[in-house]
Amino acid sequence: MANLVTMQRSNYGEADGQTVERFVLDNGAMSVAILSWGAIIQEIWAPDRAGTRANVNLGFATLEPYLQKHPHFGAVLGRFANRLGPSSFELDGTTYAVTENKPGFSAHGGAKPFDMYPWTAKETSVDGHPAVELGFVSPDGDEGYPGTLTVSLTYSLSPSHELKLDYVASTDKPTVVNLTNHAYFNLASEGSGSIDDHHLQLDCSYYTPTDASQVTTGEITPVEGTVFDFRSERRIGDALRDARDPQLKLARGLDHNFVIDRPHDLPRSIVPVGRLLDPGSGRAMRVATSEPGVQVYASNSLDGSIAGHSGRLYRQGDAICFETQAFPNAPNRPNFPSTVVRPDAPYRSTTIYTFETEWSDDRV
Amino acid sequence: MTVFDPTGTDAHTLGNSRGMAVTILGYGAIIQSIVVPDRDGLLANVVLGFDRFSEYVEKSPYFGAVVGRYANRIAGGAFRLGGVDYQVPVNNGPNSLHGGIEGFDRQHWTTSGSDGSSITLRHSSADGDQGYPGNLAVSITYTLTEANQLQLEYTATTDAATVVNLSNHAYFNLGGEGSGSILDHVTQLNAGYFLPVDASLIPTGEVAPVAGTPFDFTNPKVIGRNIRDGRDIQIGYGRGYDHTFVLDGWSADSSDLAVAAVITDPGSGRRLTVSTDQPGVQFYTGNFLDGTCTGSSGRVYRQGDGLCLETQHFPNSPNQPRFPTTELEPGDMFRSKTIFGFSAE
Repeated sequence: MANLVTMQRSNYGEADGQTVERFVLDNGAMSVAILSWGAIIQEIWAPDRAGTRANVNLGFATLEPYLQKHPHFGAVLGRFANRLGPSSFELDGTTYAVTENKPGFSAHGGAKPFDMYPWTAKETSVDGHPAVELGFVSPDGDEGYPGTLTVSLTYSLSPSHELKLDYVASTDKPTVVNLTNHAYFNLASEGSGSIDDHHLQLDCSYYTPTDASQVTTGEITPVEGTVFDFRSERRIGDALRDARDPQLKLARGLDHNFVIDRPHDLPRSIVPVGRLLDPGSGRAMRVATSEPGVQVYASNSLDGSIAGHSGRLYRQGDAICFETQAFPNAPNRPNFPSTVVRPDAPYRSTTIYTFETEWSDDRV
Repeated sequence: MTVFDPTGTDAHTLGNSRGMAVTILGYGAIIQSIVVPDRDGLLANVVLGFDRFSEYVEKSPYFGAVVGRYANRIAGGAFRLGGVDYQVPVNNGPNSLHGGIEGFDRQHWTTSGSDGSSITLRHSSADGDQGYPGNLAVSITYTLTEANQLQLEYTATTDAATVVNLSNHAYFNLGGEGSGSILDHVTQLNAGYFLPVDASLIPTGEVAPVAGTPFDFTNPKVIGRNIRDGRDIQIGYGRGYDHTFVLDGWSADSSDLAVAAVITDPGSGRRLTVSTDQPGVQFYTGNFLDGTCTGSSGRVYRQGDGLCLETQHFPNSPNQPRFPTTELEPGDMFRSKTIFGFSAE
């Protein structure tokens, strides 16, 4: 019973003249709701140590707020996630100017990121279980980026509580690509309060510092001896207030790209990123990815002005994001892993969020 | 705890035999620190602030400061008094906040009468200062008692009719400043009514019962319990609590003090009991702290890391005839008293 994954498909309204669909994947113990609008993860209902499900993903209970500007709850961002500064880059000898939607840089792909479009949806299967494949085409020149980019994202849920995101993107001209999902997690349930008491551990020995605009400088700095050292589990609330490090101060908390430790001979294999635990509910989550980096963001810009799925207002620090990604601003930082995608080799990326209870291997 | 660098102002420490210590600055009559024991006798500074005076000038959100000439908001910065229209600085959206751009919190007060347990600070606000009429002579006396009470006694006199509302904007965190959120503090407010506000936080004039709303703190309640209640537009306007609570039993004819608020931190056991002769208390949960300020212990203050209990007259009273008057006439003396009492359970 518990290993049977089902998928329900329903109409969820209309946007941009297209029907928005909602897909609910359920494995008997947990469920995930996906919207075709913005390829958004709307809900993740995960069990606590007693088996009680709660929605651990910030978002909205209806479609309408997703159609407005929002903090990218559960959304897929592209064509180039995170900050590109300056808002231009050089590729094969040509300089491309992209939309500068923030002073001095381009954020999350430009004025209209991929989460502000309807995606196509079709049913598929992954490892024999039902899954949903969402599709989107970004035209040549979209926000200034070269090449028609055809994106596919397949969401699947395994019987063992793995929510998997498989991205594929192909182009008809050389371009740069960085895709991520901006899901905000609160393992005690969205709207329940702060994630200060959550524990975080990251398999990351380096991070990429930024300038005052939070654009990466190109440095790759050891976390050793800094507030960014989460190689051993730490309570998040303690780290968020540690003002000794100017990098932490300029982001008003954690909002940094961590370099995921990875064997050199496995450049694109799926490796552990880290894990998150809510001691109160016992809910835990592991993150794994094929990407080189992860933006760990402690929702420093939530400010109590947005009411979410449960009708509760989201305050600063009520969630944490794990945006698996290429290093931000890679097109302007030659020492970072390349984000160039050419017509002969599609972009491929996989991220897995695994939900469990407790950290059974090392906790007493 | 770090040592405060007072360069640019004068700092005065009041102490008692029970280990409690309070540091007051000449600038803004600011309470820079209040060091009190927890249930195990462990000392911590329970008010938010900076470790260098210069930061108070550069970026303080009124940490510990005396605010005036008119604490809180005046709609549009405009009011009529004695048939004359006055305009004071609009410095908070469409409204005037805490006396204007250069309010009492940004003045160098003159100190006198410091004897180790008590200090008086004085300020003269000239006729026309920030647009307010009348030369106003203001004083505040801070007294630390052996009962771990910090008493605040304000006086003000004027030579022309004016409006006065004085308060202290201390941000408390009974777990120690910089220790984290105050949303787990247990709060009781002796207020059966509160003042609903509009989107710019000006009271609508309505005096609304707290019963059945997130504003009901008549019985002790964890602050975080209802602070995210997005169904209540009042919480939405304030991004949390930032409202005047109408204190039960207040009378314009009496200067008796009554308990306004009791705040307890379950973690440390520290308890703050606020008593006042004022008609209201602005309960503010640090909603605009956003991780920008680094406090005196070197920790960043995030949203909800401090709470204020600003004992005061009602906001915008000069434009609300139904609210208790805040007018002060020549020959009369404005007096108000508030006590911050500390204990541990």
